[in-house]
Amino acid sequence: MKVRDVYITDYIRTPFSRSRPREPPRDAFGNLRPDELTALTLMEMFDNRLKDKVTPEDVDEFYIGATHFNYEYVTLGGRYPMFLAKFPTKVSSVALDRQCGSGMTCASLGFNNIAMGYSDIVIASGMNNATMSRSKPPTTRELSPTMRKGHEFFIDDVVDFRCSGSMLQTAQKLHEMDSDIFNKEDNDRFSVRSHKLAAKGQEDGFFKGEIVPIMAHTEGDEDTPLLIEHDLSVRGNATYEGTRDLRGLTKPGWDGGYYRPLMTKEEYVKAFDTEQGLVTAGNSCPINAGAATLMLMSEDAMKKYDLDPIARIISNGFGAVDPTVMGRGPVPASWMALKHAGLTTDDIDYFEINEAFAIVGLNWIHEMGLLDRMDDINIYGGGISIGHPIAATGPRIVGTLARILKQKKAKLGLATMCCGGGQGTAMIIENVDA
Amino acid sequence: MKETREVYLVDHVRTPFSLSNPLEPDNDVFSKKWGTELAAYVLKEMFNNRIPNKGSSLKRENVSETLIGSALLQHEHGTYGGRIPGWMANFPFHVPGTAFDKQDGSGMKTLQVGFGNISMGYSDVVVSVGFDQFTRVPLHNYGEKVKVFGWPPDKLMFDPENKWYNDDLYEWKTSRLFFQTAQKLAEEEADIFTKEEMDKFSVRSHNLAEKAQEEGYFKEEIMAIKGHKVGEPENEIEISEDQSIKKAITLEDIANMPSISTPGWAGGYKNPKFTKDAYVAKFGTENGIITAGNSSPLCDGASVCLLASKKALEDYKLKPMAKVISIGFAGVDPTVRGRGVVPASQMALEHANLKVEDIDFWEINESFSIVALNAANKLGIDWENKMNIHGGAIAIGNPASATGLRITANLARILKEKKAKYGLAAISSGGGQGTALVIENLD
Repeated sequence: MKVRDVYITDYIRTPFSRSRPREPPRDAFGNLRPDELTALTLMEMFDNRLKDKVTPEDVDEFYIGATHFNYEYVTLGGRYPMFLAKFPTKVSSVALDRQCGSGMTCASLGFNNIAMGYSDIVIASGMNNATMSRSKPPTTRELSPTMRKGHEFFIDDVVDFRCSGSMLQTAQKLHEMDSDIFNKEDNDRFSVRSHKLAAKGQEDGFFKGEIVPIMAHTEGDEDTPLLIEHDLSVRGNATYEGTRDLRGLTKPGWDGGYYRPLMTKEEYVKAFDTEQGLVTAGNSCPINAGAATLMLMSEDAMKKYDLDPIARIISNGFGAVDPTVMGRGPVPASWMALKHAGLTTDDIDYFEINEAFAIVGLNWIHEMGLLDRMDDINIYGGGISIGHPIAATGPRIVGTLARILKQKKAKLGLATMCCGGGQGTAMIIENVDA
Repeated sequence: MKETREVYLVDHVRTPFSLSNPLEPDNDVFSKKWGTELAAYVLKEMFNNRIPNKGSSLKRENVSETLIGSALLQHEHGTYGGRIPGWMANFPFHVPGTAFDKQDGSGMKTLQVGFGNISMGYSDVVVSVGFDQFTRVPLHNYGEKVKVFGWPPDKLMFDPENKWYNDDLYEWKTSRLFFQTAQKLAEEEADIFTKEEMDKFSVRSHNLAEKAQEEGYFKEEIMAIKGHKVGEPENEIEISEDQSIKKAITLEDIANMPSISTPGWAGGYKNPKFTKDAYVAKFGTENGIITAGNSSPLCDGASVCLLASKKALEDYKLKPMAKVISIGFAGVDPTVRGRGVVPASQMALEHANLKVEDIDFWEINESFSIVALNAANKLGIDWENKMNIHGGAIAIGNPASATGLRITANLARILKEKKAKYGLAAISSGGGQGTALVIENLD
């Protein structure tokens, strides 16, 4: 059977608000459930952007990604968000969890089913709202068989949940591993760059083309409704000095931050000039609420509904690594996507690497041999500034990359991200107009 | 242009299925086992024993991805993106994972995703796991009596004042209580099937499963694991058989089981089909016609299937059980979710270029008697001879996500046993969905 071409025909997202799990009223989206946020993107797509062209009736499958499915994240197999948006019941759906890569994996699976001829129109969404009162997974980790010494399934000695369960610690360990290549200043400067680029994107109105304004409330005042039109984490006035002086949030390996530390205290101080952890609120992404949605179509459907593609999907990739340095995941995922596309990094015009942490971006750039291509990477900022509503980020970076390719009249782009638990996902897309 | 590749079902193993009991956990022989543990047991059995014993060189590090399905990916069932069961079974870190929730269809969905990734050339060996543990991570059917980790969608959709109100469209009261969906389906199909026929179908399921159990048919696919005696959590014993198959059961036994559903006339669902009088005239009772007898019991269990590309078959000397020909999926009205198997099966047949007559054997999941019977009727299946010939979920039990994998692999074994060519397996899902697969016996 011949593999069919798959196109991205639309992309829309909510603005990303700042999550405040400890003080919900301070999050503008503190009262909006993740499935509501998703439904708002679906309704914007079908009721406004593509009105009179394509309807939810025409959709074959709906995929929703999230990092867990407790409490308000429950979707009954992907049904709630699409039912909120009044999709007909005949649309098939599924919910999936690949941690941060959930949203991008939704797109990859839609890509597969369209390519094989099983679907013509697939909607791939990702959602997150970390503020929701009870959104934290209620598992007491200590009770798990994986954490009980002597239990048949005790794996903590290998998996090191203290580190692999805390994204901050995985970034600390990765930074220590890369101590010969990057110092803390590189990280902090990379973060400032992210904020400056995103602020420029906001000023130029670049993000207007992908954001649906959401009626929410003023941060800190639940009773005052406010239309949120911009991402709330972007700080255009960020400076290197301000970022440098932020407190370390992590524990270095020598201080028990992870098993089998890579450096003694003396070596650590010598390498980094501080006893403190290296990961700060400045060089890591904030926690955010938001949802993002991609529409994928076959060529036949695109002609039938008279839609123009914003990009064609060429290939996808996924890979897994040691979960204690989950930030390395994008490296094998990107190589896999390149291999399947028969391309090298030289062929790619623009890159989007999700900035879960500055060190994740920098490590990937170094491993892929792209240190001299900084001008082609995350040109409108990334997770550090725009925000990282976990599963929603995959559709965002693919969609944003497609828009960048169009704007720059460039041909090929690669989007990739790391996932908690030690995975990476990647997707290569092509601007069909270039 | 690129071509899709062929995909083979290679092996299957499962735990016995125990009877879930969130209200009295001690009565569930697996109540102390986490769902992820059950999944890890089948993974270990597959890679420690079954694959090497069959002379294959396949190792854990050769696996392209582990796909995990569970109807309730909550609380203890969180898998960290499909990773934890694999790690518990000593899979190396470089094997990626993903976890899926398509309710009852989650397990079969993992097969469909594996099929997609192998077809498209992204994976060579896919491990599909389905598990559910309804004692420890229960459904929300028990009211306040049991702590649940996901709430019904009442907040947004039930309240007519809320801007998200859409209860007229999806009617959540019925949709989220699976026995109510079966009641509504049975009322809608009242001209075709009576309660007696539903009960008879259940007897058939138990009798066939009992026979298969006695003949040792399930030995091939079940691994024994340690549980405890019913009601005696301290008394550890090895469990090697499904716990819900009833021996020598008669139609009388089933017919006398108490009703668990509310008829439409009594408020069971909106816009009821029958008035009370018409209902009584039709069914000879005022009560709901869905009983513990003609529905599948909720169970704990895990099931694993291995999918491979042709290249992997050669590289690792694997022998296929069957070839996966096509997949199907569909959504239906969630208030009669059992209808989902019909369009999903039709889609799979269409993509396989086959007709109903071409299918030699069927496995239609018996979440309720009426679901399987309705599918047989709508599709025109000779169900007495060709469907669920070794019993189904009514007898064997229904650990939702593990069931999709069980019926697919069972079907492959049936095709081999009967020297038949084509088989179709389908399962309906909560929320109103259906999932289906067509497989081919290569011998």
